[in-house]
Amino acid sequence: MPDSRLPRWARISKATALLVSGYGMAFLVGYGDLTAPSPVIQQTVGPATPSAAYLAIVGGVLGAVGVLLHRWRWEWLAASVLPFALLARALPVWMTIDEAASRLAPAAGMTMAAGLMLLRAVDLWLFACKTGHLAARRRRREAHQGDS
Amino acid sequence: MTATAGLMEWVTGLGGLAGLAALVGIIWNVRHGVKADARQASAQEASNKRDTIADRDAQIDQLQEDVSGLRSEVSRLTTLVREQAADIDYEHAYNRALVDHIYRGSPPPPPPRPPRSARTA
Repeated sequence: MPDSRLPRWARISKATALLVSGYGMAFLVGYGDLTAPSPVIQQTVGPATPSAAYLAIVGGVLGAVGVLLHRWRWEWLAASVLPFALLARALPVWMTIDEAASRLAPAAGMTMAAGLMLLRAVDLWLFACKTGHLAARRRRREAHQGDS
Repeated sequence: MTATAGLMEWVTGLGGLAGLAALVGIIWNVRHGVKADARQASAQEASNKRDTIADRDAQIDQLQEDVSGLRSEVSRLTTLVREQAADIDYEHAYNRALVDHIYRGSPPPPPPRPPRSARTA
């Protein structure tokens, strides 16, 4: 994992506590949008479009459980979908900034969350590519040694 | 549906596509035997990396040995080529002496072979 070389205290705080809280917040974004949708978004996009909210709920739960159970591939899947769910949530707010400048902060905050989640997704994609290639190379080497 | 709603749906759709891409990646990853547990996967990655480095070191040693062997072979062949070139020069010189002898209409015996220099002997 990208965090495996960190000291133990940093692994617990960064790789577990912060990640679980991050995924928990992503879940809350989706849950909040389903149960009490933002009037700003409703005003911009009309009737609620809950697909981004469902994506955030599924991604948040999957990510948090993945981190807690050390199932990195669950987290990989969650981190891949969440940036888009969060960005979809930020878009309508960005679109209405000219109506009320006070929406700048939530729009920027949500975009920052999407960006940070994307950062995690890139880390996990790189880890997946590295482990996959190294494992494939090892298999090829073992097959080659078995032949000769 | 407003334009913003359409854009939002597009971005959500991209999220779905990213999820599908991750699923394909997961299947590829599982098929290569990468461990599901994050800690085991890290250990496996480190072990595979160590093996790869050890393999590379062994390959570098082998290549250095090959290069050394090739250098000595090239050196041997260069010496051989020089010797053979000297032999050819020597034979050319004697051939010219014989041709001169024939064109001059001199009687036998043909001129004796000149002594070979120490380098070409």
